[in-house]
Amino acid sequence: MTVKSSVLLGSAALGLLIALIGFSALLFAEPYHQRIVFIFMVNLIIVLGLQVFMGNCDITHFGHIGFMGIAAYAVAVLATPIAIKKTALATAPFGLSGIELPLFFAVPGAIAITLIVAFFVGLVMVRQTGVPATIATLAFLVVVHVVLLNWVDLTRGPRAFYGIPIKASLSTATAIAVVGVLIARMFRDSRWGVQLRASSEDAAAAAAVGVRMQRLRFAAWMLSALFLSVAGVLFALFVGTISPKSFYFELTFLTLAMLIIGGMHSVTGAVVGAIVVALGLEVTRFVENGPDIAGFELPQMFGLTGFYLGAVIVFGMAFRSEGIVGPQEIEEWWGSRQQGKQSDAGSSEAPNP
Amino acid sequence: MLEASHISVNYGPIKAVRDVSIDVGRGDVVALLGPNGAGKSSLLSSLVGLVPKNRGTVVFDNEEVSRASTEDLIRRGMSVTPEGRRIFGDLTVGENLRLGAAIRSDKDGIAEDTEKFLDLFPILRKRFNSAARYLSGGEQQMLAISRSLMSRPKLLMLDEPSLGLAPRIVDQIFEFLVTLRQWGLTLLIVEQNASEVLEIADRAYVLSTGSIVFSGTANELSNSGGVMELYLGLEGH
Repeated sequence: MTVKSSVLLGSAALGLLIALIGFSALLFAEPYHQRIVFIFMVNLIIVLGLQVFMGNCDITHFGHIGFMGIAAYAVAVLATPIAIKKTALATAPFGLSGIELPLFFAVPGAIAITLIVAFFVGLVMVRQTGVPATIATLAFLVVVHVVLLNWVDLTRGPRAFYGIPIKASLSTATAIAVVGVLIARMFRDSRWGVQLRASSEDAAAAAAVGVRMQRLRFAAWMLSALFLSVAGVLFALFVGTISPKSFYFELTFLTLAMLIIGGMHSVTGAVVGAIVVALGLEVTRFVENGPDIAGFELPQMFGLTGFYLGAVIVFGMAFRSEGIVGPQEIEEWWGSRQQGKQSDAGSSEAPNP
Repeated sequence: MLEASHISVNYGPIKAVRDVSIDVGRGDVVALLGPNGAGKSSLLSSLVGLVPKNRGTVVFDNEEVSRASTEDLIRRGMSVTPEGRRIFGDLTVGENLRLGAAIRSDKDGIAEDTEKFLDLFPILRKRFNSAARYLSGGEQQMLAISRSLMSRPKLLMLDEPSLGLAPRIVDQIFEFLVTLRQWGLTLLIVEQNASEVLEIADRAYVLSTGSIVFSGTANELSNSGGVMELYLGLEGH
């Protein structure tokens, strides 16, 4: 079918771009910059997971980082060596201080735990629409944060959880991001994806053709949680030390900004948004520290990165509310321009009767 | 084919449909007429399970389906073209057609039916991969009807198919409805535009403020000047 090949074409183009970023960093960059690119890959996976839910259901999701936090802490608790747990996590419940799983079990275990939580939260979530649904996702983020912060025996509370085995590499993260693009594209253009987008455009009309919106929303919710749990596991296994504030508002808004700036209704938008915002962030971070540029010493401007994020969102919404990319995928750019011309001609000949 | 008895639909304190019974025989074209706000659309929506009934039973194909979900009813062979066309403007023409087959999983059959409607309406083929909102009103109605036929229904219910369309386009739509009848479909057509629909209908019901005020053959209705004038704003013969 033609649909299938266009999905592959679009995913290949985006995948190539991501692989290029990842492998040029592996080959040419210093460890410090490789680290930045790794974090970019994790953020990209988060944004893709966000797109799967927000882009197809048209519900703003503030709770996604909650799933990431659960997965990161779950893999930390399961995989951290017993020797470290003896001092750091001596009073863990359920005998967890005496358990050290190999990653082969700890990673799927952490993902499974996250998906179980997502399952029960999702049962409630999909019954709501619009603003109440958005508020509920925000409440979920706060609940996860409060639990991570206060279940001290399990998470060390506000203190850092350290000693997580450092096993994730930039090449793994890049590969997962590429696969993530393909999965997000396949979902968007699948039967379910089309039905879901139809129901978010016109719920009543979708119901009239027999679309079961709640069930499809639930599927998108779970797939999104899967992306986020993978991001959480990757993050924990790369940095080795996590704390509850790693998984709160800052990351929530950064990734939301990436998706919205790029255009939440397409996977291409998610990828472009992640790249553009990340690039801009690195530039402002550089300027923020007051560097010497061609003999001029710029003043230090702390807070410039936060200002940048806010400004990007405000200007993005004011001048391009559909995002940089808009609702179309990369392989549709050429074709849609043609159709745009065609429809202009068509509408002048035959206005709506 | 469809026997609905004593249907009542309330929206809070408002009684939109009061104790209405209608009967649609296999192969019939039945018109459901009445002024704005008479409860025609509410009745139709309740028959396909989009709006809950407060009372009444529905028998479809000799089976009771009063509490069946919309999805189940579509599976059993009912389909509805909603008022105002309600096509998905952000999706492509092809995706709109595919949505009509949401309950089906036979890929070959779906492809075959898609081809059939693309042959019938060449404009849909031309615009297959562009957003459906670029279609004109008449084209959108063709797409909406094709979409509701993609589930291979036995009974098609149309809610105001002529709404907001130019007379020339309305003629085309009704010509197409005659074709559907020749294909063996049973049609239940809700309309305010009584004169046009009575030309193709076998029988008619007239609804006013939620109750049936007339039922009979299309001829009888055309000849009963009182009903025509009082409820449909037309001069009878």
